[in-house]
Amino acid sequence: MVMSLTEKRYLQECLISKPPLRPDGRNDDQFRPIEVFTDFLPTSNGSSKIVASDGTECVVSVKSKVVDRSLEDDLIVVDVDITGRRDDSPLVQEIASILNRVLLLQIDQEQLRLTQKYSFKLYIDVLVLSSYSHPLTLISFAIYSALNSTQLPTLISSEDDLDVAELPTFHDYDMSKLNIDIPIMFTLAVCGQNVIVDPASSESDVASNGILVTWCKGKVGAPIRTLSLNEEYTRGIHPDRLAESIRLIEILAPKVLQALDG
Amino acid sequence: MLNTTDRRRILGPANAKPLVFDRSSVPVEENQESAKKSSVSTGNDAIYIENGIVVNCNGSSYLEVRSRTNDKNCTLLLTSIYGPRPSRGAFNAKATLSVQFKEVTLEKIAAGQIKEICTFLTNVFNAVVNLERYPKSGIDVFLSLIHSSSGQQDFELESIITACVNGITLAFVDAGIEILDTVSAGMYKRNVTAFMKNGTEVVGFWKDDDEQSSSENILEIVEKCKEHYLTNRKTMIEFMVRNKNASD
Amino acid sequence: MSIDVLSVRKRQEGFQFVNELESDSDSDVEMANDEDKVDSGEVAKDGTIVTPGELVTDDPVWMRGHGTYFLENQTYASVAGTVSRVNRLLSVIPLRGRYAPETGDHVIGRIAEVGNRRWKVDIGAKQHAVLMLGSVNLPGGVLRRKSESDELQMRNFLKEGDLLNAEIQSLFQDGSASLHTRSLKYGKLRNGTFLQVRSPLIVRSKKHTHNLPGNVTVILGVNGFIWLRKTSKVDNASDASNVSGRNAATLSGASGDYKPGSNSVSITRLEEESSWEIYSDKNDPIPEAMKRTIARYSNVIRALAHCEIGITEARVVAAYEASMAYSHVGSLIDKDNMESIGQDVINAEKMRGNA
Repeated sequence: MVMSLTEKRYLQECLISKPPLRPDGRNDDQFRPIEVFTDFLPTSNGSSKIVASDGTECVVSVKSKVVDRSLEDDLIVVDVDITGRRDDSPLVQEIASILNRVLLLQIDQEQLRLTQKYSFKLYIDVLVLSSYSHPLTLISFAIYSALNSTQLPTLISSEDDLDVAELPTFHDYDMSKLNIDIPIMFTLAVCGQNVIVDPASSESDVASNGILVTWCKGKVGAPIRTLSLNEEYTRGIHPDRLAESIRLIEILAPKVLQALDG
Repeated sequence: MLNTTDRRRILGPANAKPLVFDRSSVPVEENQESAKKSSVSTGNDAIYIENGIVVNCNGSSYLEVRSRTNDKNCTLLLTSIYGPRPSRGAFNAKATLSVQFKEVTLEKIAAGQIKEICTFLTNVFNAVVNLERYPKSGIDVFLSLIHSSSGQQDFELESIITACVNGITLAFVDAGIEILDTVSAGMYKRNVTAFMKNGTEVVGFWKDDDEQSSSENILEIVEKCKEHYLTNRKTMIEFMVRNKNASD
Repeated sequence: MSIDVLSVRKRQEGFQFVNELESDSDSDVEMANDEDKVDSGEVAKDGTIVTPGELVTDDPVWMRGHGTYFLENQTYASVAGTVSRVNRLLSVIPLRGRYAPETGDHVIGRIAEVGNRRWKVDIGAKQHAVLMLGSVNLPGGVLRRKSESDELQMRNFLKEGDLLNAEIQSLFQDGSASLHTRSLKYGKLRNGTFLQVRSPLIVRSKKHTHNLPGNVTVILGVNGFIWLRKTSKVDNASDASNVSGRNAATLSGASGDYKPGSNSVSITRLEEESSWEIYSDKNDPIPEAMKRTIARYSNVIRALAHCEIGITEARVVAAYEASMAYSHVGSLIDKDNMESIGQDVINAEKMRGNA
């Protein structure tokens, strides 16, 4: 969004004051309200739709396939599509690459194992219908909800099939819930001495820098890195801000997960 | 060849021939850099720096980083900067910076990861280059990774990123583009931190493993990276001073 | 008061389909099809809701306005909206859609392009409006002549992204607008924050700049662009002249108290004093408390828009008072709270009997 100089100055002044005065009055640790729809796509194993209060919308579908473990290295593939952006645009490629790596790094592939030979492979398709601010937080919430609602067919054949040339067979209608640890990611904006979560697009436009923090298995994990939120106001930050944002996520992440699960 | 159909220009006669210059008469760019060459060894790394190798760009740097402890860990990186040059399109009060990364020999890094590195580096240098001084222009940074290897893995992304930050800073100095500080990066395990203002400000942080990710440990990592940053920066400044003295 | 970090609403079924909705409004639709059907020679009543393709009248005496089309002596609606009859002109005002500029509208716009002796301004309409260099006040007063040097430094007055409020001077043949800012109440916007609502929600009135309690001024642009700012001297002066109707030269502060000599600013003198300051990019110092008030106002206006309530000065003030039940401004982004504020505003109006 383009803003005039006076708007940016007013906003920046508000955000660097202690405590930060966000344009919609939120606390520094307050997210925008979201609406979550789960399990609405009949043809996928799990699905979710998240609508944020600013109109950002994200649909995630999870499909599974049985693969031979010896032939496939990566058991999770993420595909990202953002309307209005080309597939080869830096933002889309960056987000897809980060998500692929995080999910492969943080999800234990053993949890997808079906039998000695075979395993489930998950295809996660992400579609961002409209986005105003950096969509990573919302996408990761949507992936979390989708994977949490994923139902996979229940195996009825034997798990030990190393010596038998037998394909796994499934129960006709019984499904079992996918049970894995799912990482979530947070984008934070640094404004002067303040760190704020879930920056809106106008807040991102005047932020001094952005920080990406990942949360998995009850603790902060990789990747953690600085993130580009705008080109105009980017500057160096004090190392304490990094520690602060991680501390903030350490407090917030359990609450966020509780809200998403609740 | 000359008279292909270009209706917007007045063309020469049909039988015109293109000008051909005698190649032998062109003075070959003599290698004056011998004096500038500098191989400084600090801490665990041996760093070799050279400036101005690429002739047709506005600034360039060549960096060779070899680990003392691990013989196989070696990064060779060539950075060239084009600009500031006029940019087309809408009016822009500031210069726009673009960073492009390419592996010129073996392609080992995934395309998505390269994009991640590029946006990361762009973000770092957006904070460092004095972009207000160059309105309506674009500055393009091209990174050519000539070689990178490490012991266990095929490549080590973190040492490449560190080399990129240092290489780009040296190239900016060579191009005479205004930067706010001699930015340099330091590495500790699989963490990279880019600093400015003598290590008091972080302009880039990259962490790719799970270890020590709690809020207390982060500052420790930053401190460790800072040590490496200070030695790297010392090397770079020494090179620049020596370079200056040699040209005087 | 503790605030939820993240408020999540869960829906299990995903999408709701219209035909699955249980509602009493079914009968309304039926009625429109059968009993309420326009009979020959008749015309749909003023304010009736029509849908595209619906017959509005088959009486050819009506002039066909916007939102209608004419086929075989019959007039049909081409948009979903309400029927409006002005004398013999029949038109359908769309319920949604982009802002359609009209001469005299007070709008807020954002500079999209700086061109040759003119600015292109985004006012949320289908085309960019035009602001000619000759239609703005330049530093140095009214009698100043525009010179070539002004043409060369247009970006020093207004540049891309700048917000301004202006009046629609005239409309071109293609429906695009030409703006002017030749009054002190128009011009570049400073000291505040911007928000946007759908344009049909703004109720056209005589005045679109309102001084609200808490020393905050709101400009409700007819195009749905809204600016909230710290009340300025000009705002106070124009408000006082409006309220008391006194001679502009003897005006004082917003309260309307007459304090000779002190703080009294005349509009004419302001105009003389108008210098480069009217194009300044610097904000005045604004106290924290006022910024908080501005944030609260912007949240209650969003709440009104969320409840699809037309936005007027009285309703903004009423909603602001209703919002005081929530001490934390940030709790106003919650849907339930927004709806309860909307309900409060409607109830208050019903009580007073003007709903």
